[in-house]
Amino acid sequence: MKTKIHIQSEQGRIKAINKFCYTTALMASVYVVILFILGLKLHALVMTGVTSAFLACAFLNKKFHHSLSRTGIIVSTNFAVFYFSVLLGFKAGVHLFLYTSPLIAYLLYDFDQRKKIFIAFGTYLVTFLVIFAIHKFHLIAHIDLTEETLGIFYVLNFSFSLTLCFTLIIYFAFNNSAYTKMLVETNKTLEEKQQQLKEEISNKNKAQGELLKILKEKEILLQEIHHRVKNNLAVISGLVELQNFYIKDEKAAAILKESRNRIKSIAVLHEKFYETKSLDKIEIRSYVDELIYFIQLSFSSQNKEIKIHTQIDFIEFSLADALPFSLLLNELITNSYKHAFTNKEKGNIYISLIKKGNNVIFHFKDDGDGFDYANFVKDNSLGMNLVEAFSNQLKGKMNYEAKKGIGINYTLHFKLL
Amino acid sequence: MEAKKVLIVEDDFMLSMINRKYIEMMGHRVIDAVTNGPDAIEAVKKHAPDIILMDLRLDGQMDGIDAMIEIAKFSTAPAIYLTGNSDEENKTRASKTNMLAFCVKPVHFEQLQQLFSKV
Repeated sequence: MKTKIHIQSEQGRIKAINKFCYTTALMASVYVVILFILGLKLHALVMTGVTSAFLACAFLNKKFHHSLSRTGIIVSTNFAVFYFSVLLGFKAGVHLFLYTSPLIAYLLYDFDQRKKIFIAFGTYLVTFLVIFAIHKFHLIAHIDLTEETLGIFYVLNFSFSLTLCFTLIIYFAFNNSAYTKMLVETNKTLEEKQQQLKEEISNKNKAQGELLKILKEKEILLQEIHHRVKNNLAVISGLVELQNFYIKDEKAAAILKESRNRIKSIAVLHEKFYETKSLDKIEIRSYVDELIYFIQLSFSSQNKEIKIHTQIDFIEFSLADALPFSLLLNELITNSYKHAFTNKEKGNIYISLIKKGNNVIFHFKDDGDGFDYANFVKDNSLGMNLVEAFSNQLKGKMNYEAKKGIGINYTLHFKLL
Repeated sequence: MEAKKVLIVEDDFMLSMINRKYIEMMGHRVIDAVTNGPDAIEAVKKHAPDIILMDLRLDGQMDGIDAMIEIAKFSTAPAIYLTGNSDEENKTRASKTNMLAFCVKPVHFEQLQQLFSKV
């Protein structure tokens, strides 16, 4: 949109003041000619000075001396009216120019500068009162002019002052109209922009809705994946267990049972992830409780009184941490059940998970028979190899102590992902 | 232990088959195996089972708990819920039905044995 310069802007006001200066200079030059014709050469010279003063004001305005230019206009207009009213007399009607003074004051200063408007207007009022007093009390003698010449001056002054008054009013009206038009256009543009913004917000809301829908779909998909994985693991676990019923060899059956438990520990893990709304973290305590329950159940045929004591902080595990940890815990408990209490009817297993900041201290201990870890051949034990492998997967610092007669003591310090 | 009549309600064919084997190995009898709620209701009306092995998530609109609510209107057979959806909301809903246990899949033979011994 093209921005119009109007009087409400400082730039528009300066332009208007310049036009006013040129107009008054033009009017003053008419008086110069008339005074010259009347043979009043000295006064014609004074009027030439006034004309020059108006042009000088316009010049000052152009040179950015706006305040000085405005003061110059007030002084020049007051002086011109005063000088010629006194010179030609009240009847010549020069004082009629003072009727334009409120408009001149309003032209020079913004409405926010009301004090200056009142001062400017006050100077014109004082000038008028002084002129009136001089005339009333005949303080200064004016030039004697014929009634006819006075009449010509009166008509001329009346016409000029009326023209000036009319021109200023028209100018203000025009500017006001232009300003209103500009406001209407600005308002229209703002409304259009508001509409655009509304559309943009609506589009963004729509896009956000779509994103939420996609997110929801992804959540459902992820849930479905956990569900399917869990169901498939349940099938595998069930088939392994069924197979077990047909195996006569106890050693082979025990191996299958261990495999089934490993599968189950992963299946339960997926179930826990499926349960949680976030789908990316699980609270490990409830998982450990469930894992202990089914391992206890699977070794229930041993008919031994083995108590598992737990002390587990509230810790949230990601899938990346939870998977190796679940298998690690499964191996440790299974190893204890299988080997620790072969010569005992009772026993205890102690499990603790302590959280310190982002670090976890996992401690596993049993009071079983123990074994000579120093001379233990790890190659012969899958369980021990897996314990090491899952400890390494958790990037933890492992400490495994085992001695014959005092059970095992395993500690792992690791950082959560 | 007296042989029980068992109804299996499970939408996964393999799991249904594995559960059937478990039950038969325990010496009980599977009187029917269905995959959805309405069929389960019909099967209970027809065979009057002693125990219902009920999956929570079934084919169709009706889930296992809704089916048990309908079944409870004419039968006292208890349900062993075998579920993948073990969240608290489901547990609460299930506890209001004639429930023997709420088990998370995969359910082991020993686990089922223990539950059946309670009936």
